[in-house]
Amino acid sequence: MEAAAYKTQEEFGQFIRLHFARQDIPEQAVVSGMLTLTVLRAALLRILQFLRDDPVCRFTQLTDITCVHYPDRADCFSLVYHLLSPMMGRRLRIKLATQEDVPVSSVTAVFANAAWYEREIREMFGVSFEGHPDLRRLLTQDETFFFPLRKTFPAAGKVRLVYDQAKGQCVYVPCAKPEKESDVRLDRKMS
Amino acid sequence: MEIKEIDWLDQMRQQGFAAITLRVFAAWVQENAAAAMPVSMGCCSCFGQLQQVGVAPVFNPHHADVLVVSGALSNKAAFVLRRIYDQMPSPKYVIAMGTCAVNKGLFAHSYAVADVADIVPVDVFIPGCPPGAKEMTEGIRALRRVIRDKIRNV
Amino acid sequence: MTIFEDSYFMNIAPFPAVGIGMGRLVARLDGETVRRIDPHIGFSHRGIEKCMEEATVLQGLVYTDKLNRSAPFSCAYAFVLAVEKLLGITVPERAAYIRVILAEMGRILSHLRATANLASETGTDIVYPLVNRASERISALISEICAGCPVSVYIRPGGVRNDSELETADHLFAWLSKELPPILSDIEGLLTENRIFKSRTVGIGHIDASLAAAAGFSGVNLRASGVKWDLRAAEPYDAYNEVSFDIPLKTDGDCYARYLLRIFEIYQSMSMIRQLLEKMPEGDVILADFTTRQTEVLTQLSRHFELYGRGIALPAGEVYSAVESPLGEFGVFLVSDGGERPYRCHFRSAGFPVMQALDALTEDCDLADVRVIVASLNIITTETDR
Repeated sequence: MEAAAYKTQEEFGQFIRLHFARQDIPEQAVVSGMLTLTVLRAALLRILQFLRDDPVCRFTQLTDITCVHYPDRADCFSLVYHLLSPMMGRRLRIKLATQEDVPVSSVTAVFANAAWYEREIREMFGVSFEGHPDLRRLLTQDETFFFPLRKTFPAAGKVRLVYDQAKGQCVYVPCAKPEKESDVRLDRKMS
Repeated sequence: MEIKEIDWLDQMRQQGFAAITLRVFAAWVQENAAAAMPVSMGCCSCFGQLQQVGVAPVFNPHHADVLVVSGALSNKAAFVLRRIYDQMPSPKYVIAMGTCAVNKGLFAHSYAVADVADIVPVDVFIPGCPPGAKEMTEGIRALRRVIRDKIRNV
Repeated sequence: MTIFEDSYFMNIAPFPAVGIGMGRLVARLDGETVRRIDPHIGFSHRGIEKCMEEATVLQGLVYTDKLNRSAPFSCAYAFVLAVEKLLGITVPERAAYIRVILAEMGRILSHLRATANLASETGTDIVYPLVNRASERISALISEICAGCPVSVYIRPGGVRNDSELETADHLFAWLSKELPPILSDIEGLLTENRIFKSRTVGIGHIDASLAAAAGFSGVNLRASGVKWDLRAAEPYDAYNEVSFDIPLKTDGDCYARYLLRIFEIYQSMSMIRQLLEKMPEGDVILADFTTRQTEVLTQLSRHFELYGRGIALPAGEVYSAVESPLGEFGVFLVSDGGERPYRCHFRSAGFPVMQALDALTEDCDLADVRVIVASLNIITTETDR
């Protein structure tokens, strides 16, 4: 019955913010139909724990974690957590700005399936996580030493894989020349 | 091939024998009884396509004469592909099936995809996304020509 | 952590043995019993997320088609919905109907293939020819609707590429009433009460509801455990609120439940396609701004350049949109900075959390059951690895 009181997304956001100090959740917005909360690094685990266990929220499922790289910002990585509450039929997005050298606390203790998502973010962006059980590379080869999904990394990569007859194994060689923009691409400013 | 040998073959034929050299025979056997090992990395599924054109797939590199690589080859899978290739007994042949395997196709500008021809020597390229039965048949025919030429011209 | 006596490692690869994609499991075995499994993925990782940042929307649709070839119109659909949400447009009603019909046909195709894979892992290879026959027909019908290759940029922002011929509806009706039911009843006859099939699947790969929900399961895998969650009913998109359908539910959470649910869902999809065909509205199939079909040749040319050269400009913002793909919830998280190319495009693949939970699912099961469990979960590694 309590859930019915928070009909609009904004009201629901206010309800969540009531449970925490003002600086823990500094921002709240509804972005294309989904409630988005910006949280502080220190409060992340507490907020997720609350959202999972609170009888009004019941966000029992972590749909997804991903990251967006903004190279020109001071906190250049924006971690995005998507939560789902199948019982309430609600979705929620939580955002957290972070840098490369400051680790974010891993949420594997709250949502077990966060483990691989965090592994992927570590591998693709180089964001480090604190308290994660296993941060091996997931999708790419263990020998790769770059973070491909950063904006500063060229899409075509800096190395390519060839078989070395003399060594008898596959080796990475640097790309002969930096790949140019594809010819088919037209100028963005074309009117 | 030496002229002397051919003379001898001709003599045999004139006497009413069906005579061919061992090399020709070996080529005939190889091109008609090649066992193919499908390795499918990306979205083309070569298993069904091979069955369609009448090639029996085997799943052990030690028993395979032909390696059929289909789909975009990621860097991680490239190491595996080379190991599979190294385990195959000679003479061995490679078919690259699908545009992604031929020249990386859509993923030409991707950091994660390797060129199949950089990893293993490819004999036959079958383009198409995915290749149809007609292209596959054409490709298998081309492979038979490759096998024949390779063995006869040793 | 327990140290297992007399245990050893074994590589289980490649899986799936047939079909698309490639994965590897490293199993820790104790005799024939699986103690731990470490799934290694990434063999089909093609960097599609990075490629999407370099591509306009229409180019990007080609990449999304490549994510899951065995279930056409599942991944591209989510991407198109995300773009439309960002643009704030509603598609014509006829286009919405055609899209749902195609999505359901894709679901039938994918479920049939998953059933065939599961049957072949349990030793009933005879299902393959049946499914191949059905899937060839479905592919032909899809080509007929799309007027071309089954994997094409057919579902696109603003509607669908082109309208289908008049007689296509008759072909679909004939297929639904005459061609598909005998194949389905053959498959069911072969599997549902098959003693060997049941002994290989009943009680194998069990996962209970709370664990499945916490592990991020979705789709058939979640509903087999007893959680009633279907995006088609919970967050209906396009024409899904125009049709009535049941959400079949099982509580066993084992391989057999997942198989049964797939078969039930095929029947539901058939009824959905029939309902949609019966009340198919007339009209356009694509919004005028997103097509080159104009009366004047000159406008057509300039529109063509605008659409295919420069691309559709995406308003700045971020959006998450998910569809109920045959494998589960497939979501797209799209961030735009106002340009024609997405700033960031992340795919939430349905198989990713399932792959992650394999360790829990295969706990203390027999080595021979691992392949059965993997097949019953319907993991497509090209979709998982992106």
